[in-house]
Amino acid sequence: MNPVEIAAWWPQIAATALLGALLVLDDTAYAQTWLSQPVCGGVLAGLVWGHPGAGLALGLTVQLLSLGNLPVGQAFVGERVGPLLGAVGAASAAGWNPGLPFGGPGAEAGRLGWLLLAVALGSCLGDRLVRWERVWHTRLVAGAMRGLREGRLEVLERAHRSSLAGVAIRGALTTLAVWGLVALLWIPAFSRLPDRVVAALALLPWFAPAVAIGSLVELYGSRAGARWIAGGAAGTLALAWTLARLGAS
Amino acid sequence: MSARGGRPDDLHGIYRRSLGLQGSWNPERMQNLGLAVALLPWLRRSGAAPAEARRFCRRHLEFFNTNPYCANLLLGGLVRLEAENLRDGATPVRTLTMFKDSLGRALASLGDQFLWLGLQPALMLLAVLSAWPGLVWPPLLVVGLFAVTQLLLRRRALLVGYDLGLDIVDLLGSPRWHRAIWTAKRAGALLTGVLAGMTVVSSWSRLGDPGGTTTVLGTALAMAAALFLRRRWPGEGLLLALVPLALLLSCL
Repeated sequence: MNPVEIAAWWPQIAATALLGALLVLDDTAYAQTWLSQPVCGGVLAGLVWGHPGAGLALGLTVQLLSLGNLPVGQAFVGERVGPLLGAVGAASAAGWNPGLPFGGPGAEAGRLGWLLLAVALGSCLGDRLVRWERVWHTRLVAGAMRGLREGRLEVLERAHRSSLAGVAIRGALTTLAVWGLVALLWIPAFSRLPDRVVAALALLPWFAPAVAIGSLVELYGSRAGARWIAGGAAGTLALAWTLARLGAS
Repeated sequence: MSARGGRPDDLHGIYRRSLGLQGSWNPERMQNLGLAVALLPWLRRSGAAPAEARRFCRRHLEFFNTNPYCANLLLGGLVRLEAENLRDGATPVRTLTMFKDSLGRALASLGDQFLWLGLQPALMLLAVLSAWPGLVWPPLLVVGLFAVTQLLLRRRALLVGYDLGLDIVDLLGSPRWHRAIWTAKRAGALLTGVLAGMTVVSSWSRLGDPGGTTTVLGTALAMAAALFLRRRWPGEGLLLALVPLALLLSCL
């Protein structure tokens, strides 16, 4: 992708950065409607680029990976929104359409795995960024408390607004940075990967439901919970078997 | 200061700000600044003297943490008690602080059990399963419905909290909380079973394809790794750790 091609995409890039700012705010700072969850965020980014299917493929896979990441206490937060939006935008700009997850074999699945790897790396690195941001919030609060001694109530509002603005700016910048890295380095590098590595990447989307099931079985896996899990699995398999029999006859 | 039914006019301003309770979350005092800022519209219109306003802010800038979805019940009650305290000193400051701390902890526990450990995994599983055949709109619909409902419920919680004041504590004893937690967790468990069934069906249908056996084997090994390592690993980290397994399997 050359600078002229990038310039042609500027309305979509700007809209994705804005979406990144809004969804990162929604993720941890304001309203928390869960529209920032990967499956929705991916689709929304895909809609911005005219490829909602690509957004769904990546968003759904990332959602499965993160189903067990519970935001309780000071646990791992990750920073999935920016990397996911950036990766969906870059893939759409490059004409990559990973298609349905767990469907297509070969290069399409390999591309989805390659993008998934970028988002997972981005999320792990972004977690550090979120922790720094929260330390910065501590400093803002301390500054506001000093200002309060002089009787100025508005210093509290200013500190809170700065925090919210910081979160939104982080979301926009992370989205832009990931878009640039994925569009200019990550996607071009895919064509140089050996076939064996592409085959390994094609397996990664399949690991996502496995990771989700493993984490959720651990979450719900008491004796009573296990019965419900087994019931859900048995019911689904019975339904699939019945539908297959009906289709065959 | 008061409007219909004795509720203050500024509850709408408090509601808008309460949505940003976690906006300045910090590791030392957590949601303290979010709470203080949410209560400022009421403080400004209360006519409190500057010294009293400073004491009010200092009180609410202490450590505070609760579940953001349940917080409005507490915020409504807090406004009511602060108003009573300012009017005739009916609620001592010590009672106010104890109310905030103990109710905050109780709502954090109930809210985390219901929302983070019950409803969120269940709802997101439903969104994922509804999108499984490649449908784009169902997940947006499922989550959009939740978004609107929770925003309306948070507004209602603020009004209920204001009306009940100290009596909010009685609400916490209701068996409805535990029934809701039980239902959300069982729904999550059932949908986990459905996801497992659909994964088996999807991988089974690939058995005839080239590399299909490797896919099934990889899925089973990844699930075993997730079961074994889960508590210590976030999903993204686990995927990165499973890359060598994928490379190994691709050599088979």
